[in-house]
Amino acid sequence: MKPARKKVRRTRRTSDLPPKSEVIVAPADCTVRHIGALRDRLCEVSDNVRTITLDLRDLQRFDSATLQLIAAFTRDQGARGTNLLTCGHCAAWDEAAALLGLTATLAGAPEAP
Amino acid sequence: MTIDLTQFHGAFFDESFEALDLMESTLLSFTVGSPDRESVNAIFRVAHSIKGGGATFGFGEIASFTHSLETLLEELRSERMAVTQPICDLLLKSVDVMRAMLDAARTKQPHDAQSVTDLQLDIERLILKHKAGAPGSAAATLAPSASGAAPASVEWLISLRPDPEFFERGTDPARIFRELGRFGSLVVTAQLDALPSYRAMDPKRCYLSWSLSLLSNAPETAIREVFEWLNADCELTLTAISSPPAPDGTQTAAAPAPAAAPDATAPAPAIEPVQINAPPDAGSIRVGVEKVDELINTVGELVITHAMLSQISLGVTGPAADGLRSGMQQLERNMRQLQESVMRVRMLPISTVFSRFPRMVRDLAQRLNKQVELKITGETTELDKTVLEKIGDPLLHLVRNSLDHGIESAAGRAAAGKSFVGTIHMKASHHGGSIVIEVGDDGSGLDAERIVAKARAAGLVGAADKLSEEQIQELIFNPGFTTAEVATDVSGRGVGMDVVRSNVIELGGKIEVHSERGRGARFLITLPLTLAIVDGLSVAVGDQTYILPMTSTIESLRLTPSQVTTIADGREVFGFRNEYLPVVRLYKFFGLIPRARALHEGLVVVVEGAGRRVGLFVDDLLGQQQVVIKSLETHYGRVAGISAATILGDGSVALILDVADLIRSAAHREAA
Repeated sequence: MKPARKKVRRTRRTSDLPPKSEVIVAPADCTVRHIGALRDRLCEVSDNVRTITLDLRDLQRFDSATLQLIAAFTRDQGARGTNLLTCGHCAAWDEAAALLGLTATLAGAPEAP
Repeated sequence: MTIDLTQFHGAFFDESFEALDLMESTLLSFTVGSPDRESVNAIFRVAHSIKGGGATFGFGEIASFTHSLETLLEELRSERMAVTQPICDLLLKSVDVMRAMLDAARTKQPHDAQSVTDLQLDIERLILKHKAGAPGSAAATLAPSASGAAPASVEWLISLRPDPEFFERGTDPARIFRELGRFGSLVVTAQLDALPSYRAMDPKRCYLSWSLSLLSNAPETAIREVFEWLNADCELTLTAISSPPAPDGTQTAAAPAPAAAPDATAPAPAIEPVQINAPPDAGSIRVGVEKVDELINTVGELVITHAMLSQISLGVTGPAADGLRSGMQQLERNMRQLQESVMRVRMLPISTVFSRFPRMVRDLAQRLNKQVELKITGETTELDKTVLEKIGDPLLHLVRNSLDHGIESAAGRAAAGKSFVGTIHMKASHHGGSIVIEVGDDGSGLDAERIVAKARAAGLVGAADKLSEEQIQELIFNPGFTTAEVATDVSGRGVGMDVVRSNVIELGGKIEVHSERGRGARFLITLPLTLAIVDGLSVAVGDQTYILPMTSTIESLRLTPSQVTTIADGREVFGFRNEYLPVVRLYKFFGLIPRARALHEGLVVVVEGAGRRVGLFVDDLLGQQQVVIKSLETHYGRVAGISAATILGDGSVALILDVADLIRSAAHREAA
């Protein structure tokens, strides 16, 4: 008879836990020709992260494609319940968001039915 | 019925390049700070026209770029922004970028898209920066207060559904909406229903679409104009849902504007006809060069036929002879007039070439840190189109050399007691049947001592040789010759002046240099007015007649046996103006049976080509005449020593000699 195996309660190591927060730094050039780099950074974010900070302080160039991608990211993360923060966005960013009718989406508001 | 728009591409490119030339020259004449209002308007029209054409013909990137440029120019035109030096520089860069885009579109080659994007962003940033700084402009772009719209406003519902490549083509809807917002109160609603997850999406594709509500009193044409350059990049509908109130205050029924609500699947709205840079003379028409050449060719045939009839008429006797000859004389006068008129059609003012130099001199002077003024005179002088196309590069070499080597630095000029601003002049004028183009400067002139030293070091002249001023100046035309210590990307590699000379000679012209140490240098290029007719010397060799272009002919002489020396390898040379020239026996070269074999029985014609002189031995000189050039290469390929053919008055064919090629080929055969 085999000795009874001692029940070991497995605990998750700290490194296995999803990070509580992550920071994504947008590259300087996020225009349509270079937007792949920003998308790659967004895709590196863990699924279960609680808070994401989108750091736009280095952002020098963007266009409507940039705002479209961030709008999709914001919407998806909002649906997942992630707390999304942005920092370092300039007046031109806000103006472009308003021009494209994306202010509410980028602010994390639920989509209108 | 569909119209193949590609048939209009050629005209669009031609007109756009002309319009850009105009834009560039206008910009270069701008007075920074207070430019002439009409000049700003002219530049605006250029951008607007290219934008319209670009959109019409499906060059989305060109339309998009010029749209941004037009927005900036509108700010300048309305004097909301001042014309500063950085803005002038930006506009000049825009000219370069537009030229590159048009050239790429014409040749169907890729271009530097990054530089286009960069410049477009710079332009937009400049506009935004200005608007942000303008008093009372905050948040006014998108939704001005309702009171901002005139009482007679119409509400327009606009639906914009771009195709997926919208962004990749460089089209940015934010720009369009910003412009639209200027017409009144604009509410933008983005449709995200087609927007996939960010992980699944191709971020370069456009998934968004928009519904816009614009309350504006702007005319429909103005609103449509905002979208005109989108063309087939999107589905666009524009509907007026309320009309302006009637003067008595009663509201009329809301109805869609007649052409404002096209089918949802229809492409962009029709675009108004585009007119680029209408020439000052509205009576002119644009005709393809091939049609003009065909006309010239036919007139050439008529000239030959006339010459044949004239010869026949000389043998006619009887009562009708006088009347015939009188009629032939009248025909000759008419023919000459017709020929001159047709030849004038191919003539263009040299300003089409000169116009590129102000910009080049400005940019290069900035790079070299020199102050240079370019003076152009005689730019209305007309020249054959083909000659014009080929003379541009030689002139470019000369002007670059003047800037780099001729004009001294400001300190150098001050030390020489000159104004610190150097002068380069370009002149063109007619002299008889030729045109003379002069490029000169008030710089340091050619340094004879340095030229001779370099030539000795290169083994071009012997250590003890004493050279005349003319011979020294001749040295700069040697291949690879340069006095520059350091080769720059501007000049100094020694590949310039020999190329300049060979290009000029290929055009049937010649180049001379006049220089005065410390006071400057002048290069004089003499060119024939046209390449379709050549002044020729007809010579007989055996039973054949050849035409020698007069521009290559120096002198004809009959040699005595004592003047001819046979050197070791059997070659014959004779003394001519302090030098020995080889004899080229044309009958041997072409394999003919001559009437004269001994040199003293025939004639020697001294000709120059490929930088060398030789004596061509011929049986006889027949006369001098203008001949119409007929290309041989079209039917027979390249023949050594022959450039073309012509038909003589008696109907026989004479070959026109290519002197430079003849000299090269003869030297090659003898060496072999």
